Amino acid sequence: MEKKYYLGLDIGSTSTKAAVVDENIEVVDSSYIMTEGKPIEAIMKCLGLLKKNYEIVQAATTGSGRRLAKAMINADLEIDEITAHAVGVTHFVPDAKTIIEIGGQDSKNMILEDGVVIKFSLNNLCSAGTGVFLEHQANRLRVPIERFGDLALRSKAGCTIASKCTVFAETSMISKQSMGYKVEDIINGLCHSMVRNYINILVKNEKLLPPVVFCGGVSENVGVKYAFEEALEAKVIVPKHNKIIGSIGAAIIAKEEMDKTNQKTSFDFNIIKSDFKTKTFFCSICPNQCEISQIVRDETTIAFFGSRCGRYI
Amino acid sequence: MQSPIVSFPHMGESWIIMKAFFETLGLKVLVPPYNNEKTMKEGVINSPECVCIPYKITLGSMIEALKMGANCLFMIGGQRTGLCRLPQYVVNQEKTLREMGFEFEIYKVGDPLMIQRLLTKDLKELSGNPKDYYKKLIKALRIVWIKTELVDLTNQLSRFYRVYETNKGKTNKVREEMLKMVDDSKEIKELKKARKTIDESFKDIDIDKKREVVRILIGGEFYSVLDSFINCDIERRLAELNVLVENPTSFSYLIKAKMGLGIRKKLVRLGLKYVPVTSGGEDLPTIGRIEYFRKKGIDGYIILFPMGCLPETAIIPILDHLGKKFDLPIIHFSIDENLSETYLQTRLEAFINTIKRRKWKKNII
Repeated sequence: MEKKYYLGLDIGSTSTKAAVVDENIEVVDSSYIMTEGKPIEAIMKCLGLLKKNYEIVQAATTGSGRRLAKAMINADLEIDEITAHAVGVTHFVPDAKTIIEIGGQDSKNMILEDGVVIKFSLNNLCSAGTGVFLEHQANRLRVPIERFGDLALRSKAGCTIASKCTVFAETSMISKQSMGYKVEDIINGLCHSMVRNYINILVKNEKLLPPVVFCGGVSENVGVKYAFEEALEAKVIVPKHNKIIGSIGAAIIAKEEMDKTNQKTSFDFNIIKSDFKTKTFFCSICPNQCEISQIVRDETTIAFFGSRCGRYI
Repeated sequence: MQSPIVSFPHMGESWIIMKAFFETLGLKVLVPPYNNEKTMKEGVINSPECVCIPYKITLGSMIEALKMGANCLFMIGGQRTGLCRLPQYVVNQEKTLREMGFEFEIYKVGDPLMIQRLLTKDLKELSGNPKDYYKKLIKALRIVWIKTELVDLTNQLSRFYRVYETNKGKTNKVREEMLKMVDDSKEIKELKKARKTIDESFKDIDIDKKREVVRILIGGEFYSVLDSFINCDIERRLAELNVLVENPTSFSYLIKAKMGLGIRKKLVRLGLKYVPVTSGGEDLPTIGRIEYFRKKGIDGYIILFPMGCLPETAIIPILDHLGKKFDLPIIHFSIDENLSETYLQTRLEAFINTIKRRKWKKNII
């Protein structure tokens, strides 16, 4: 019998990730590319980057583009980011009690008990304290984002930079620069400011118990990891596959679903060859004036988004 | 004054009830279009920035009504109403509307004395002092009560059938039809028949009783709970996620509460166990519901309140604490004109999925 594979696709605001797992939940293949504001192209590319066309029995999507992706590739499930990440992380770190996930434009905090989420929060104020914030500041300092973490570790003094808002952080950073602080110290300060921000917005008065797992794109940054360790006074674990853990979680849930329903998917790799178009228009039937987007695959409409009343489903 | 054309701001399906009341008294009624983006825009640009969303949307609704030709408005107000900022609203709104250049009469509904005067004097004058005014008034009040019950029944049944229906969207259609029928029935006899029709039409919907559902309680500030526009139709969204919604806030609940009857008293007493004082609004019932409905086997609690609502904001820390104590997942949403549907949808899905997984894990062990 041929081996069965499960596909998980995570369409984030900044990057698109795909993961393929086999029946023993071993990650056999994965791909990671930047979304660059073009999710449709990104999904195609991401699937194209996988090593071969696996025999996929079930596919699941997650991330902010999950609805679009589900309609596009005929996936069987769409899963919210919280569940996908929690499942992915608990597969690698079964006894995790706290998950910190910082991605491109959102950050999440999950508190777990016996491997299930009992409390979660997503950032709801602004994107200060997410990957975009660090990337922006790195651009300002002309430091490549990949070197950000190493530079932060080189700092011996550190400095305090206002958190809460990207604009205020920038003002505070400029004033520190004009005082003659070293770049390393400022970068270190930024990492700490980000962690403070995260704790202020998401954690509030919740207790973060170890083991603490840190994943998402920003977990590549060792500076932030150390800042977290200092703030929480606990060891922070960055698991294997930290960047694609959401898509692995989605694939695991797809496998669970398969075990329950035993229905084979209609997903097919030939989808990459189809031609996708989006149209947007304003519905003027009622005063709501919804902006509706229509997804067309090879001249057949596959989905509508944005209708409030349910006229376009 | 020219002949009065009565109007009022929207709150969920309350227009059916209000319209029936004024029409039975022989008044001409103008119902503004149901809350929509335009209402919101009108309300937001004419309101102070940090005031809560019910203020903005009711103002918008009144502006729309006045633009369509209404000249006599009814709005909640009065010294002892709600105990939050609500009594102040109608005063400000009246001023705003006058400054915008509208000419109209406004009647405040709230305190018992006010209602008494309204029923015995103002409405009598408005409807042109008919001889059989009191006979009409009694009939109107009876119709109000029956229609309130019918609207609540329709909502109650649609919550159940929406989750279990086999062909999606059928319940919403039936619900629209039934609400229209309740609105069209003018006599008490017809309304008695309507109750039967509602029961039967809902029973005709094909259901799949085996579907696994999660039971979620919705509570919080009543405008945000009852108005499907400002809460982005949260009940429909939840039903799509296989959630059986338990929503004890209804129009009959509000009317009963106003008269000191019904379940609210009990909820307040349960709430007082944890907070010794009330800061107004629905804060104590929101707390009390946790204990009351926990016994009835709910899996989670969603609390809705307008951004900046003092009573509800004040109790959030207590709710978090009680959630841990009773092992009940609680999530709260503060609603304002910037609430995006994606924001709500993502959190709802995450909330429901975590509850489902918790249940599923418990079953395995």
